[in-house]
Amino acid sequence: MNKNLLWPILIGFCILLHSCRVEDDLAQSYKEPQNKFAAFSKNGNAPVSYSKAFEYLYNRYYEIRDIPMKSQNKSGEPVPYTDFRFHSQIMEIENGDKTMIFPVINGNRVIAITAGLIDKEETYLKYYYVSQDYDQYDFAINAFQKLVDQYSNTTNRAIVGGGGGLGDGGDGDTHEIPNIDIQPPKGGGGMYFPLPGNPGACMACPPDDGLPSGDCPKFKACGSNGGGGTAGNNNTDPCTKIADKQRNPKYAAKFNALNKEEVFNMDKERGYYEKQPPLGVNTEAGFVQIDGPPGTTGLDLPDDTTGISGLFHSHNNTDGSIKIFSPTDVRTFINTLIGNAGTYGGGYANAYSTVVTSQGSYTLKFTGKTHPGGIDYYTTKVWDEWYRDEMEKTQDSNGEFPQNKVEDVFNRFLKEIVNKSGLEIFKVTENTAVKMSYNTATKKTDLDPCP
Amino acid sequence: MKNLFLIIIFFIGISCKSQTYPLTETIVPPGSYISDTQNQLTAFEGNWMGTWKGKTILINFKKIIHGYDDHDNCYRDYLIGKFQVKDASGNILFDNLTIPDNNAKIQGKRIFANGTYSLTYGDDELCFKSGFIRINFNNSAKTEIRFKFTEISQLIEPDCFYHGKPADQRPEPLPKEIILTKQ
Repeated sequence: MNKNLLWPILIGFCILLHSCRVEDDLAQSYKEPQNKFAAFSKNGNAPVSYSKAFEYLYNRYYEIRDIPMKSQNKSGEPVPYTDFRFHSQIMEIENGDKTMIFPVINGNRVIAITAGLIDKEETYLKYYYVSQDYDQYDFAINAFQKLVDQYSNTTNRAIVGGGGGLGDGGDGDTHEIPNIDIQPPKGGGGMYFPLPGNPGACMACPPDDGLPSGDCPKFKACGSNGGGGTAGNNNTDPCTKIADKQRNPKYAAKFNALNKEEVFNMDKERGYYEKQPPLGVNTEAGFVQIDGPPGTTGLDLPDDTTGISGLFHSHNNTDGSIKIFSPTDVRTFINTLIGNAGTYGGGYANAYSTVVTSQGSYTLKFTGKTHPGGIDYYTTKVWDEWYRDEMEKTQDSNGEFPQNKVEDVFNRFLKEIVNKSGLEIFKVTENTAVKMSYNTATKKTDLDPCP
Repeated sequence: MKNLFLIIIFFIGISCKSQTYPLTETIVPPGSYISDTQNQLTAFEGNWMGTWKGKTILINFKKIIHGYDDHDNCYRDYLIGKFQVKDASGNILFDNLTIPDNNAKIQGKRIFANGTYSLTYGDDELCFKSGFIRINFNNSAKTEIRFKFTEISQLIEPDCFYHGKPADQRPEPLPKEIILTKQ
């Protein structure tokens, strides 16, 4: 009798213990980590792009330490850099850590391999050079070299101590660079690929002790909802965003394609829009060229504006043209580009609109956390009338519009009429940006160069 | 004492009277009057006609005296323009000759020292097509006007009725450059 009672009590005790353990596990799993890397976290339906996350965090590490990017050394020679456009598949190691390898390139030659490693909890990240003792080393070097040969046929954009990329070869937009497939490494101790046993493993590489490693505060990239490699990116600093874009070979190519006298002297406007892939599709955004009808000063957006988060377009040298954004340009930025950037492009801060003219180029950015609200017909009408009346006042007797006065009027327009918190304008070149803002006291434009 | 009172009233009256500025001015204190003191606008008044690309345009310029400008919070003498455009077959393409003066799509702004008068054009019915117009007399008899129109660049959204259409199927309400003859 006693024996019969003992068994149910023991079983009940075990069940109780187990349920407590399960509850603890559940509580653990639901607890939102405060020290995770945002870039490796899923954001909604958008899958994590590990290559982009590794690239973003690598660059970010140097960016927040203000380590300048260089394309050449003092002697004018190319310097080695890690090119994150080329990568292996993401490899999950036995304990759940994840790793990916990237080529180190010098003068179009793959000279070494960088490994990125994020631990299972996504709380610790490190990059290191892989030793030649790695049994797949030669295979990986050769596989990367084939890709580099195939997809890079233009100038280098090398970065010392930072990520970079080769020029995409003109029509690079249409190429999806495949990853290389390699055998996942085995081992443990947090460094699955063998470390260089001596400094000679990659003599040409930047100092190994300079490679990024650490927890997310060290990268200023903590969060639990995307960032960098995924849709959400907590960094809304427009200077950083513009600099990131300017370093992007595709973006730079489009800017340079418009910033030409032959384009300014065309009898039509030209532009490129950047369209994000649909949610759940993990591919790079693409650029599409659009031309206005000959003899006109307008540029049509495509029938379907879904996913368009960025836009370049020219304002040409026709007599009396205004060489800065028009009210409809601003309306499109707010109504279309900001919203699409929020839904498809990783956050409102990733929206941009750039107008390229012979008198200077300008980029609109938005730093707000919430959408500034759509611009309706009546508001557009008010904007249009104000803009026309004030721009007319800048006109000289020859019918020209002096650019400094045009900038003052436009900056006043943004501040006093559009009046959307977080909406900012920058005067840009291929590789610089200067924030412009209207000073109500001086009635002039203040300039604040980006660092 | 009575005279002193009248003198004070007289000077107060003078100081309260709004200041008057010539048509060349663009920035004036609130309540001021930008006046056609030299009667330069009158010669532009009336019907003017010209042709371009097989189309005929009739523009009527009318002088508004001491109209209130709520954008600059001042009063001004200025021209308004209304027009009708017909194709080669006589079909009316655009016609705003009968709209109220305060809704005129062409509004005058100022005159330059060289005699060129500057106006603006805006049409929210054509997806906010807008621009700047400059007119000046082309002969000493003032029977011809040189008319020049510069359009402001615009992005055209898919909901605009002429979105995606070729240039010859888009509205072109005003010629870029034309000589208009007094009717």
